[in-house]
Amino acid sequence: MSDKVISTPPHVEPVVFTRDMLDWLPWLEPMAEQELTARHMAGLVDAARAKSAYFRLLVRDPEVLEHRTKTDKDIFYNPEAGLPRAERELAAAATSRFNGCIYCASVHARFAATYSKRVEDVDRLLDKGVDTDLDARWNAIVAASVALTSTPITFGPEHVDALRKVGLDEASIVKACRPLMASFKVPRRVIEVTEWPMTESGKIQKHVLKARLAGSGESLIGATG
Amino acid sequence: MSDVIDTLAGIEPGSPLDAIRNGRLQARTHAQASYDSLFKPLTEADASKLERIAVACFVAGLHGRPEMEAFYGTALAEAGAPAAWKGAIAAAVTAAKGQGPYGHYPKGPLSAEDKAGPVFKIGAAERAALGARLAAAFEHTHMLVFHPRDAAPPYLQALVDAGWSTTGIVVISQLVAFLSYQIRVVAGLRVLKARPA
Repeated sequence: MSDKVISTPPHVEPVVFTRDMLDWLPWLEPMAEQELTARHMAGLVDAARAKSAYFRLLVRDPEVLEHRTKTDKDIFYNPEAGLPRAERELAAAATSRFNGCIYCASVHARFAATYSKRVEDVDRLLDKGVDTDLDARWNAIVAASVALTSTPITFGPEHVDALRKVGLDEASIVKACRPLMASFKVPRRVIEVTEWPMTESGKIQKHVLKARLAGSGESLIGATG
Repeated sequence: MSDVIDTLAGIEPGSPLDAIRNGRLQARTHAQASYDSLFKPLTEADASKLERIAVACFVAGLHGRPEMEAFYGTALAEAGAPAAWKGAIAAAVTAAKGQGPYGHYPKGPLSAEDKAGPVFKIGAAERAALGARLAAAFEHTHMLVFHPRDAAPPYLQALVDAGWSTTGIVVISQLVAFLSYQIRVVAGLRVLKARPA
Protein backbone atom coordinates (compact mmCIF):
# COMPACT_ATOMS: atom_id res chain seq x y z
CA MET A 1 0.00 0.00 0.00
CA SER A 2 1.42 3.38 -0.92
CA ASP A 3 0.44 6.31 1.27
CA LYS A 4 1.16 9.23 -1.02
CA VAL A 5 -0.49 11.66 -3.36
CA ILE A 6 -0.33 10.34 -6.91
CA SER A 7 0.00 12.39 -10.07
CA THR A 8 -2.66 12.20 -12.72
CA PRO A 9 -1.88 11.39 -16.35
CA PRO A 10 -2.18 14.32 -18.79
CA HIS A 11 -5.85 15.18 -19.20
CA VAL A 12 -8.11 18.12 -19.95
CA GLU A 13 -9.73 19.50 -16.81
CA PRO A 14 -13.37 20.53 -17.32
CA VAL A 15 -13.80 24.31 -16.92
CA VAL A 16 -17.59 24.55 -17.36
CA PHE A 17 -20.61 22.70 -15.98
CA THR A 18 -21.68 20.01 -18.43
CA ARG A 19 -23.88 16.94 -18.84
CA ASP A 20 -21.00 15.14 -20.56
CA MET A 21 -19.37 12.06 -19.04
CA LEU A 22 -16.20 13.27 -17.30
CA ASP A 23 -13.06 11.34 -16.46
CA TRP A 24 -12.64 11.35 -12.70
CA LEU A 25 -9.00 10.74 -11.82
CA PRO A 26 -7.82 9.88 -8.29
CA TRP A 27 -5.19 11.83 -6.33
CA LEU A 28 -4.83 8.91 -3.93
CA GLU A 29 -4.07 5.29 -4.81
CA PRO A 30 -7.19 3.16 -5.33
CA MET A 31 -6.97 -0.52 -4.43
CA ALA A 32 -5.86 -2.80 -7.25
CA GLU A 33 -8.57 -5.05 -8.65
CA GLN A 34 -6.62 -8.18 -7.68
CA GLU A 35 -6.45 -6.99 -4.05
CA LEU A 36 -10.23 -7.00 -3.66
CA THR A 37 -11.52 -9.67 -1.26
CA ALA A 38 -15.08 -10.85 -0.66
CA ARG A 39 -15.38 -8.16 2.02
CA HIS A 40 -14.41 -5.48 -0.50
CA MET A 41 -16.82 -6.85 -3.10
CA ALA A 42 -19.62 -6.65 -0.52
CA GLY A 43 -18.60 -3.04 0.09
CA LEU A 44 -18.82 -2.24 -3.62
CA VAL A 45 -22.41 -3.59 -3.68
CA ASP A 46 -22.35 -3.78 -7.53
CA ALA A 47 -19.56 -6.05 -8.78
CA ALA A 48 -19.16 -3.86 -11.88
CA ARG A 49 -17.88 -1.07 -9.64
CA ALA A 50 -14.62 -3.00 -9.26
CA LYS A 51 -13.72 -1.46 -12.63
CA SER A 52 -14.07 2.10 -11.29
CA ALA A 53 -11.05 3.84 -9.72
CA TYR A 54 -13.45 6.03 -7.73
CA PHE A 55 -15.09 3.07 -6.02
CA ARG A 56 -11.81 1.16 -5.63
CA LEU A 57 -10.47 4.14 -3.66
CA LEU A 58 -13.54 4.43 -1.43
CA VAL A 59 -13.65 0.66 -0.84
CA ARG A 60 -10.54 1.01 1.33
CA ASP A 61 -13.21 1.14 4.06
CA PRO A 62 -15.65 -1.48 2.77
CA GLU A 63 -18.31 -1.16 5.48
CA VAL A 64 -18.54 2.62 5.21
CA LEU A 65 -18.82 2.41 1.41
CA GLU A 66 -21.44 -0.36 1.56
CA HIS A 67 -23.81 1.58 3.80
CA ARG A 68 -23.23 4.87 2.03
CA THR A 69 -24.01 3.15 -1.29
CA LYS A 70 -27.19 1.53 0.03
CA THR A 71 -28.36 4.82 1.52
CA ASP A 72 -27.61 6.60 -1.74
CA LYS A 73 -29.42 3.99 -3.85
CA ASP A 74 -32.57 4.32 -1.75
CA ILE A 75 -32.43 8.10 -1.92
CA PHE A 76 -32.17 8.15 -5.72
CA TYR A 77 -33.80 4.96 -6.98
CA ASN A 78 -36.55 3.87 -4.58
CA PRO A 79 -39.75 4.57 -6.52
CA GLU A 80 -42.07 3.95 -3.57
CA ALA A 81 -41.95 7.18 -1.61
CA GLY A 82 -41.09 10.71 -2.50
CA LEU A 83 -40.27 12.67 -5.60
CA PRO A 84 -40.07 11.37 -9.16
CA ARG A 85 -36.51 10.36 -10.04
CA ALA A 86 -36.06 13.39 -12.31
CA GLU A 87 -36.63 15.78 -9.42
CA ARG A 88 -34.35 13.89 -7.05
CA GLU A 89 -31.63 14.29 -9.66
CA LEU A 90 -32.57 17.96 -10.14
CA ALA A 91 -32.12 18.57 -6.41
CA ALA A 92 -28.71 16.88 -6.53
CA ALA A 93 -27.68 18.78 -9.67
CA ALA A 94 -28.66 22.08 -8.01
CA THR A 95 -26.68 21.13 -4.91
CA SER A 96 -23.58 20.40 -6.99
CA ARG A 97 -24.06 23.53 -9.12
CA PHE A 98 -24.18 25.57 -5.92
CA ASN A 99 -21.24 23.98 -4.09
CA GLY A 100 -19.27 23.96 -7.34
CA CYS A 101 -18.53 20.29 -8.02
CA ILE A 102 -18.39 20.06 -11.82
CA TYR A 103 -18.02 16.26 -11.63
CA CYS A 104 -21.03 15.53 -9.40
CA ALA A 105 -23.12 18.09 -11.29
CA SER A 106 -22.40 16.33 -14.58
CA VAL A 107 -23.76 13.01 -13.30
CA HIS A 108 -26.94 14.39 -11.73
CA ALA A 109 -27.64 16.86 -14.55
CA ARG A 110 -27.37 14.01 -17.05
CA PHE A 111 -29.93 11.94 -15.12
CA ALA A 112 -32.19 14.96 -14.49
CA ALA A 113 -32.28 15.67 -18.24
CA THR A 114 -32.82 12.01 -19.15
CA TYR A 115 -35.68 11.44 -16.71
CA SER A 116 -37.42 14.82 -17.04
CA LYS A 117 -36.74 15.27 -20.78
CA ARG A 118 -36.34 18.99 -19.93
CA VAL A 119 -32.87 19.22 -21.44
CA GLU A 120 -32.97 22.98 -21.99
CA ASP A 121 -34.02 23.69 -18.42
CA VAL A 122 -31.27 21.47 -17.01
CA ASP A 123 -28.70 23.14 -19.27
CA ARG A 124 -29.92 26.57 -18.16
CA LEU A 125 -29.39 25.55 -14.53
CA LEU A 126 -25.84 24.46 -15.41
CA ASP A 127 -25.06 27.57 -17.49
CA LYS A 128 -26.72 30.31 -15.44
CA GLY A 129 -26.64 28.84 -11.96
CA VAL A 130 -29.16 28.21 -9.20
CA ASP A 131 -30.95 31.58 -9.52
CA THR A 132 -32.15 30.87 -13.05
CA ASP A 133 -35.94 30.70 -13.60
CA LEU A 134 -37.08 27.16 -14.49
CA ASP A 135 -40.73 26.95 -13.42
CA ALA A 136 -42.54 27.33 -10.11
CA ARG A 137 -42.06 23.73 -9.05
CA TRP A 138 -38.43 23.36 -10.10
CA ASN A 139 -37.58 26.80 -8.68
CA ALA A 140 -38.91 25.69 -5.28
CA ILE A 141 -36.91 22.44 -5.41
CA VAL A 142 -33.72 24.28 -6.42
CA ALA A 143 -34.22 26.93 -3.71
CA ALA A 144 -34.73 24.27 -1.04
CA SER A 145 -31.62 22.40 -2.23
CA VAL A 146 -29.55 25.58 -2.07
CA ALA A 147 -30.80 26.39 1.44
CA LEU A 148 -29.91 22.89 2.62
CA THR A 149 -26.48 23.01 0.95
CA SER A 150 -25.49 26.33 2.53
CA THR A 151 -23.31 26.23 5.62
CA PRO A 152 -24.75 27.25 8.02
CA ILE A 153 -27.97 25.68 6.74
CA THR A 154 -30.65 28.25 5.83
CA PHE A 155 -33.49 25.78 5.16
CA GLY A 156 -36.61 26.88 7.05
CA PRO A 157 -40.41 26.70 7.21
CA GLU A 158 -40.65 29.09 4.23
CA HIS A 159 -39.01 26.40 2.05
CA VAL A 160 -41.43 23.74 3.30
CA ASP A 161 -44.36 26.05 2.53
CA ALA A 162 -43.02 26.82 -0.93
CA LEU A 163 -42.56 23.10 -1.68
CA ARG A 164 -46.06 22.27 -0.50
CA LYS A 165 -47.48 25.11 -2.56
CA VAL A 166 -46.04 23.67 -5.76
CA GLY A 167 -47.48 20.27 -4.92
CA LEU A 168 -44.79 18.27 -3.17
CA ASP A 169 -46.47 15.28 -1.61
CA GLU A 170 -48.50 15.32 -4.81
CA ALA A 171 -46.30 12.48 -6.08
CA SER A 172 -47.25 10.26 -3.19
CA ILE A 173 -50.94 11.12 -3.68
CA VAL A 174 -50.73 10.18 -7.34
CA LYS A 175 -48.90 6.99 -6.46
CA ALA A 176 -51.57 6.06 -3.95
CA CYS A 177 -54.21 6.48 -6.69
CA ARG A 178 -52.59 4.08 -9.14
CA PRO A 179 -53.73 0.74 -7.71
CA LEU A 180 -57.20 2.10 -6.99
CA MET A 181 -58.14 3.78 -10.27
CA ALA A 182 -58.32 3.13 -13.97
CA SER A 183 -55.16 4.57 -15.49
CA PHE A 184 -57.01 7.42 -17.26
CA LYS A 185 -58.52 8.52 -13.94
CA VAL A 186 -55.20 8.79 -12.09
CA PRO A 187 -54.61 12.52 -11.60
CA ARG A 188 -51.72 14.14 -13.42
CA ARG A 189 -51.76 17.13 -11.07
CA VAL A 190 -53.07 17.58 -7.56
CA ILE A 191 -54.33 21.01 -6.52
CA GLU A 192 -55.33 21.70 -2.95
CA VAL A 193 -58.65 23.44 -2.30
CA THR A 194 -59.78 24.67 1.09
CA GLU A 195 -63.49 24.23 0.37
CA TRP A 196 -65.59 22.84 -2.47
CA PRO A 197 -67.94 25.17 -4.34
CA MET A 198 -71.31 23.40 -3.93
CA THR A 199 -74.73 23.78 -5.55
CA GLU A 200 -77.78 24.12 -3.34
CA SER A 201 -78.57 20.47 -3.96
CA GLY A 202 -75.11 19.49 -2.68
CA LYS A 203 -73.21 18.80 -5.90
CA ILE A 204 -69.73 20.11 -6.70
CA GLN A 205 -69.88 23.10 -9.09
CA LYS A 206 -67.31 21.87 -11.59
CA HIS A 207 -67.55 25.00 -13.74
CA VAL A 208 -66.41 27.08 -10.75
CA LEU A 209 -63.37 24.84 -10.28
CA LYS A 210 -62.56 25.12 -13.98
CA ALA A 211 -62.81 28.90 -13.83
CA ARG A 212 -60.55 29.03 -10.78
CA LEU A 213 -58.03 26.86 -12.53
CA ALA A 214 -58.11 29.08 -15.61
CA GLY A 215 -57.33 32.09 -13.43
CA SER A 216 -54.54 30.40 -11.45
CA GLY A 217 -52.07 30.03 -14.29
CA GLU A 218 -52.22 26.23 -13.87
CA SER A 219 -52.97 24.16 -16.92
CA LEU A 220 -54.35 20.66 -17.12
CA ILE A 221 -53.28 20.29 -20.72
CA GLY A 222 -49.76 19.06 -21.16
CA ALA A 223 -49.33 18.77 -17.42
CA THR A 224 -46.79 16.26 -16.23
CA GLY A 225 -47.33 14.09 -13.22
CA MET B 1 -36.97 1.32 16.15
CA SER B 2 -35.50 4.67 17.02
CA ASP B 3 -31.99 5.55 15.84
CA VAL B 4 -29.48 8.38 16.09
CA ILE B 5 -31.28 10.59 13.56
CA ASP B 6 -34.57 10.13 15.48
CA THR B 7 -32.81 11.07 18.69
CA LEU B 8 -31.25 14.19 17.15
CA ALA B 9 -34.44 15.28 15.38
CA GLY B 10 -36.73 14.43 18.30
CA ILE B 11 -38.85 11.92 16.37
CA GLU B 12 -41.18 9.77 18.49
CA PRO B 13 -42.15 6.22 17.49
CA GLY B 14 -45.57 6.26 15.81
CA SER B 15 -45.38 9.96 14.93
CA PRO B 16 -46.03 11.23 11.37
CA LEU B 17 -42.30 11.79 10.82
CA ASP B 18 -41.59 8.26 12.03
CA ALA B 19 -43.99 7.04 9.32
CA ILE B 20 -42.30 9.24 6.70
CA ARG B 21 -38.91 7.84 7.64
CA ASN B 22 -40.28 4.30 7.47
CA GLY B 23 -41.38 5.02 3.91
CA ARG B 24 -37.66 5.07 3.13
CA LEU B 25 -36.60 2.13 5.25
CA GLN B 26 -33.40 1.39 3.34
CA ALA B 27 -32.16 4.96 3.71
CA ARG B 28 -33.13 4.90 7.36
CA THR B 29 -31.42 1.57 8.09
CA HIS B 30 -28.24 2.32 6.17
CA ALA B 31 -27.86 5.85 7.55
CA GLN B 32 -27.73 4.23 10.98
CA ALA B 33 -25.38 1.52 9.67
CA SER B 34 -23.16 4.28 8.20
CA TYR B 35 -23.03 5.91 11.62
CA ASP B 36 -22.17 2.59 13.27
CA SER B 37 -19.46 1.72 10.77
CA LEU B 38 -17.84 5.15 11.17
CA PHE B 39 -18.01 5.41 14.96
CA LYS B 40 -17.78 1.71 15.90
CA PRO B 41 -15.25 0.62 13.27
CA LEU B 42 -13.89 -2.92 12.92
CA THR B 43 -10.38 -1.45 13.10
CA GLU B 44 -8.89 1.77 14.44
CA ALA B 45 -5.62 1.24 12.56
CA ASP B 46 -6.15 4.14 10.14
CA ALA B 47 -8.30 6.49 12.23
CA SER B 48 -9.01 6.07 15.94
CA LYS B 49 -12.48 6.43 17.46
CA LEU B 50 -11.28 9.48 19.36
CA GLU B 51 -10.03 11.11 16.17
CA ARG B 52 -13.35 10.40 14.46
CA ILE B 53 -15.38 11.87 17.30
CA ALA B 54 -13.13 14.95 17.44
CA VAL B 55 -13.67 15.57 13.71
CA ALA B 56 -17.42 15.10 14.24
CA CYS B 57 -17.39 17.74 17.01
CA PHE B 58 -15.58 20.12 14.66
CA VAL B 59 -18.04 19.53 11.78
CA ALA B 60 -21.02 20.00 14.12
CA GLY B 61 -19.49 23.25 15.36
CA LEU B 62 -18.82 24.55 11.85
CA HIS B 63 -22.51 24.02 11.05
CA GLY B 64 -23.56 25.84 14.22
CA ARG B 65 -26.05 23.12 15.20
CA PRO B 66 -26.39 22.95 19.00
CA GLU B 67 -28.09 19.52 18.96
CA MET B 68 -25.21 18.03 16.98
CA GLU B 69 -22.53 19.74 19.08
CA ALA B 70 -24.14 18.42 22.27
CA PHE B 71 -24.44 14.88 20.89
CA TYR B 72 -20.84 14.56 19.68
CA GLY B 73 -19.52 16.59 22.63
CA THR B 74 -21.02 14.00 24.96
CA ALA B 75 -19.53 11.19 22.86
CA LEU B 76 -16.11 12.85 23.11
CA ALA B 77 -16.27 13.06 26.88
CA GLU B 78 -17.54 9.47 27.20
CA ALA B 79 -14.76 8.18 24.96
CA GLY B 80 -12.22 9.61 27.39
CA ALA B 81 -10.64 12.28 25.21
CA PRO B 82 -7.76 14.28 26.72
CA ALA B 83 -9.09 17.14 28.85
CA ALA B 84 -7.56 19.81 26.61
CA TRP B 85 -9.44 18.68 23.50
CA LYS B 86 -12.82 20.18 24.35
CA GLY B 87 -11.45 23.71 24.64
CA ALA B 88 -9.12 23.28 21.67
CA ILE B 89 -11.98 22.10 19.43
CA ALA B 90 -14.17 24.99 20.58
CA ALA B 91 -11.34 27.46 19.82
CA ALA B 92 -10.81 25.89 16.39
CA VAL B 93 -14.55 26.15 15.65
CA THR B 94 -14.60 29.83 16.62
CA ALA B 95 -11.60 30.56 14.40
CA ALA B 96 -12.86 28.46 11.47
CA LYS B 97 -16.55 29.32 11.32
CA GLY B 98 -17.71 31.01 8.16
CA GLN B 99 -20.25 31.00 5.38
CA GLY B 100 -20.09 28.54 2.50
CA PRO B 101 -19.88 27.29 -0.10
CA TYR B 102 -17.17 29.42 -1.71
CA GLY B 103 -13.98 28.79 -3.62
CA HIS B 104 -12.35 28.89 -7.03
CA TYR B 105 -13.10 27.20 -10.34
CA PRO B 106 -10.50 25.99 -12.81
CA LYS B 107 -9.45 28.97 -14.94
CA GLY B 108 -12.06 29.66 -17.61
CA PRO B 109 -15.60 30.96 -18.04
CA LEU B 110 -16.52 30.02 -14.46
CA SER B 111 -13.74 32.17 -13.02
CA ALA B 112 -16.29 35.02 -12.99
CA GLU B 113 -18.09 33.01 -10.27
CA ASP B 114 -14.99 32.61 -8.08
CA LYS B 115 -15.81 33.51 -4.52
CA ALA B 116 -12.95 34.30 -2.16
CA GLY B 117 -12.90 32.98 1.37
CA PRO B 118 -10.50 31.86 4.07
CA VAL B 119 -8.31 28.77 3.93
CA PHE B 120 -8.28 27.55 7.53
CA LYS B 121 -4.95 27.25 9.32
CA ILE B 122 -5.33 25.93 12.84
CA GLY B 123 -3.80 28.01 15.65
CA ALA B 124 -0.56 26.98 17.37
CA ALA B 125 -2.24 26.36 20.73
CA GLU B 126 -4.91 24.12 19.19
CA ARG B 127 -2.28 22.26 17.19
CA ALA B 128 -0.32 21.64 20.37
CA ALA B 129 -3.40 20.37 22.19
CA LEU B 130 -4.77 18.19 19.39
CA GLY B 131 -1.57 16.98 17.75
CA ALA B 132 -0.38 17.14 14.15
CA ARG B 133 -2.76 14.46 12.85
CA LEU B 134 -5.95 16.06 14.10
CA ALA B 135 -4.69 19.53 13.19
CA ALA B 136 -4.26 18.40 9.56
CA ALA B 137 -7.62 16.59 9.65
CA PHE B 138 -9.37 19.79 10.82
CA GLU B 139 -7.82 21.86 8.02
CA HIS B 140 -8.94 19.25 5.45
CA THR B 141 -12.41 19.12 7.05
CA HIS B 142 -12.80 22.88 6.82
CA MET B 143 -12.05 22.73 3.07
CA LEU B 144 -14.63 19.96 2.54
CA VAL B 145 -17.30 21.80 4.55
CA PHE B 146 -16.85 25.35 3.24
CA HIS B 147 -14.96 25.32 -0.05
CA PRO B 148 -14.90 21.83 -1.58
CA ARG B 149 -14.31 23.17 -5.08
CA ASP B 150 -10.82 24.21 -3.96
CA ALA B 151 -9.91 20.53 -3.41
CA ALA B 152 -6.41 19.92 -4.76
CA PRO B 153 -3.50 17.52 -4.19
CA PRO B 154 -1.72 19.79 -1.63
CA TYR B 155 -4.65 19.33 0.81
CA LEU B 156 -4.09 15.58 0.64
CA GLN B 157 -0.31 15.90 0.82
CA ALA B 158 -0.72 17.80 4.11
CA LEU B 159 -2.63 14.82 5.53
CA VAL B 160 -0.01 12.35 4.32
CA ASP B 161 2.74 14.54 5.85
CA ALA B 162 0.89 14.50 9.19
CA GLY B 163 0.88 10.71 9.21
CA TRP B 164 -2.49 9.79 7.73
CA SER B 165 -2.59 6.64 5.61
CA THR B 166 -4.48 6.61 2.32
CA THR B 167 -7.22 4.56 4.00
CA GLY B 168 -7.29 7.02 6.91
CA ILE B 169 -7.82 9.92 4.49
CA VAL B 170 -10.70 8.02 2.88
CA VAL B 171 -12.23 7.36 6.31
CA ILE B 172 -11.96 10.98 7.46
CA SER B 173 -13.38 12.28 4.17
CA GLN B 174 -16.27 9.78 4.30
CA LEU B 175 -16.87 10.85 7.89
CA VAL B 176 -17.20 14.50 6.89
CA ALA B 177 -19.48 13.50 4.01
CA PHE B 178 -21.70 11.44 6.31
CA LEU B 179 -21.90 14.21 8.91
CA SER B 180 -22.85 16.75 6.23
CA TYR B 181 -25.68 14.38 5.31
CA GLN B 182 -26.73 13.57 8.87
CA ILE B 183 -26.74 17.23 9.93
CA ARG B 184 -28.93 18.16 6.93
CA VAL B 185 -31.39 15.31 7.42
CA VAL B 186 -31.78 16.29 11.06
CA ALA B 187 -32.13 20.00 10.20
CA GLY B 188 -34.76 19.21 7.55
CA LEU B 189 -36.74 16.87 9.81
CA ARG B 190 -36.72 19.45 12.61
CA VAL B 191 -38.17 22.06 10.27
CA LEU B 192 -40.84 19.59 9.09
CA LYS B 193 -41.68 18.68 12.67
CA ALA B 194 -42.31 22.33 13.49
CA ARG B 195 -44.43 22.72 10.35
CA PRO B 196 -46.95 19.86 10.20
CA ALA B 197 -48.94 19.59 6.98
